[in-house]
Amino acid sequence: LAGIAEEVRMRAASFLNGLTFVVAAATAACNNPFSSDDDGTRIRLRNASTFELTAVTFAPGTSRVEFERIRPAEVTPYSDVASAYSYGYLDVRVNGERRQLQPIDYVGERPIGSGRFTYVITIDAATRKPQRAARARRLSAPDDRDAFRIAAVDLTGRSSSATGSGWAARVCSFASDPQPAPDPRSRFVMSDHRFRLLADARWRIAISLTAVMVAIYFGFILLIAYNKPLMGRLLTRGLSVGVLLGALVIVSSWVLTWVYVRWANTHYDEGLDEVRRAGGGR
Amino acid sequence: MTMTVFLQAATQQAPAAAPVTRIGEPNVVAMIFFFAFIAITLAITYWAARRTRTTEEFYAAGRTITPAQNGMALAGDYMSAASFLGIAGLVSTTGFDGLIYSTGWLVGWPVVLFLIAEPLRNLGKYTFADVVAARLRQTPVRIAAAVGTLSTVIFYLIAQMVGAGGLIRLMFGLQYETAIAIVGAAMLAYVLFGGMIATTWVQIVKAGLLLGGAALLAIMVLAKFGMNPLALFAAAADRYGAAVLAPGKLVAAPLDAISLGMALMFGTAGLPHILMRFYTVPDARAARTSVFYATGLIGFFYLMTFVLGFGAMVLVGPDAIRAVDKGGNMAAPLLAEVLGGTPFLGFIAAVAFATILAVVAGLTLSGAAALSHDLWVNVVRHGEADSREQLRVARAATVALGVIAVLLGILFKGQNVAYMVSLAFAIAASGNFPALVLSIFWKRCTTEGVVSSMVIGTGATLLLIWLSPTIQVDILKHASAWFPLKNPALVTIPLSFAVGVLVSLAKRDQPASDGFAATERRMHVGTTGD
Repeated sequence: LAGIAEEVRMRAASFLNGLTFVVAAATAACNNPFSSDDDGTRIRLRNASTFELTAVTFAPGTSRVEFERIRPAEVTPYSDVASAYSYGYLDVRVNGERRQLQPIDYVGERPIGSGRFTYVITIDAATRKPQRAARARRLSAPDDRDAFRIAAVDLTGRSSSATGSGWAARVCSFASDPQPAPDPRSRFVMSDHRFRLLADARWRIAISLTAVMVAIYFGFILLIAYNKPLMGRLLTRGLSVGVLLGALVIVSSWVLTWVYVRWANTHYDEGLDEVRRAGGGR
Repeated sequence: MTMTVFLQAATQQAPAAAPVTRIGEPNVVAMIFFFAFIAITLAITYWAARRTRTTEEFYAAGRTITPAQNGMALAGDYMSAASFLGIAGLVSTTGFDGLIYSTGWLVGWPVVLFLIAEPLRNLGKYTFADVVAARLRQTPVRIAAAVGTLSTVIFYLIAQMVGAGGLIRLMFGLQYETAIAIVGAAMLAYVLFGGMIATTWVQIVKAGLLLGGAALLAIMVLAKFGMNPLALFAAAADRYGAAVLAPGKLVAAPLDAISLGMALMFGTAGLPHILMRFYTVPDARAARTSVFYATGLIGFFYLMTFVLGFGAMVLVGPDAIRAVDKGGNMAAPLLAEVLGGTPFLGFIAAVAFATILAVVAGLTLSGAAALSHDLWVNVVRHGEADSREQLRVARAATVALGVIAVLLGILFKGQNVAYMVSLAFAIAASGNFPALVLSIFWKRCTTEGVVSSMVIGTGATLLLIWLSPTIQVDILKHASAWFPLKNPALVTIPLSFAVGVLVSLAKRDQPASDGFAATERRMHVGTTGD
């Protein structure tokens, strides 16, 4: 028995200190087998990183909590919230730089229910990645957001040419009282769930945009086939409806690709980063 | 379609050149530009050859191409001489009807972006068969995919080669066989020694020349109309009637138009030489961005064809254009001659030539990848071939394809090979595209389902093209055709999907559906975790 207890403790310890801290005994939190009191949901934050966090705003759902400062290893007092999910929005300053962690949505999630919960904030050190990938990433950066993400890698004092998506804060929850032995599978379960949402969103968007493109182009062809007089009508000198619509088909191709790239560069990529950090790259 | 017109004309005997133009006479400027292009691209090949030691470098340029570069190269691969010369010619002689094609050639790109580009990059290595075979049984899938790839590539190659020969004879006065041999030799040099790195850079140079040349031409046209395209269109309408701005006879049969539209829209997402380009970038995000650039560039190019076509109509005149070439394919060069004299004509002619050369190189490389990576390495050797052997086989396949392309080009001399391009697009759309979509997105799809979808999609396309009016009436001079549509995509794309779905549902393939979760994850997340 003692051996088992020891092993559980070691597993818990190695898990918490491990490379991927993405702790989240999310199943535990979601199914909430530990909630014993009916006091409502009480949450607190633990700073498991080596950085001092300032101007902290955390919102695991509609409610939010704010703290001026959380030192490394510090645990905040509990706050009452109306409801909370197993992850949330985080806005924080690290080394004076503002960082945000924006969850995609809570679709399909259940609130963690009543009980006491501690969210653990961890910050990954920037990992070095192959130079090539970094270069492409920077070149492909369509706006400042991505350039910034790379440029701002340096949370650990390494040179700023260190690459990768440097900001890797994770906010995860686990039931704090009593503290369960984390199940190593749980992070995969959580990552699976997030992944499912993301993959479904990607599929929905791809299909809808394809359908729009098909409708636009074949609408154009059918108009030409069945309503030639309309297409030949002059809107102004030198411009017929047909010529205008033809140009608009090209423009709409641009717009649709822009819409997709815009969505993918923000929501999809951030979701993928989360899934990867949560062990999705297995 | 556009290509149709272009090739038809190019393979007809050139009528005696009208006295107003120097087209068809040896053009010093054209020769200088042309040899400058060859010299530059060979220099690139020499530089690339020293960076082409592994299979990854040969097939995928070591995955070092940036999104912007790949966007240019994609545009280069796609904007063939047919687009440039054919659409401009069609617009200049028929007006609005030509514009229908300008739009049709672009709309496949958003589909590539939404459905194919990123999954392809994450799931595959060198060919699209990698993706289809990701969780299915390798051997049957790869054989079927190689058949689809090679059919597409061969038909596309023949059309390009025959078109090149005719075009070069028209422009430079070179002999048909000489022209074909030059194209074959230059292309072989690029692919054989420089692999994907050289091919990519040839595409980039060519795309730059083509976009630059077309833009220069368009600006020179617009300068004559106060930089107002509407003034240009109005001038065309004043001279040749308002009908030039309205649909004419081209879309007489709506079903034909829809069928062709389907082939173009979904065929782009199944063209092996286009798909292969997504492996040259570091990750899926770069693949995504490169399609974005490519769509922008290609759309911009097709918008310019509006101006070039109507410009040629007004400044050269449809009759003068038809006097040089019945299909109107010399509209853009003639326009260049009117606006910039013989030197500009030479420049545009050289650009058109470079265009063909680059497209042929891309096609050959993708065909060689199917032969060596899919058939030799994965079917014959069961994936047990080392890098050196793979490269040797890939180069041998390149030479074989190059020789075949030249021989077929000479064999098909004087033939109307127009149907071959619609065939290439239709096979890509009905043989390759459904298999890709089913294997990427549908958990229940099975090896048997995907293979029968590819085989029946390709086979039905070949059969229906054979039974179509294009072959039966136009070529074999029969009174009527069995199959009413010129392009079979309207029938064969749904057929291919239906076969894939029904056969998959008929028998469960447990390993395939078990593998779906892991494949799906890899499709989104990628392999490296990057």
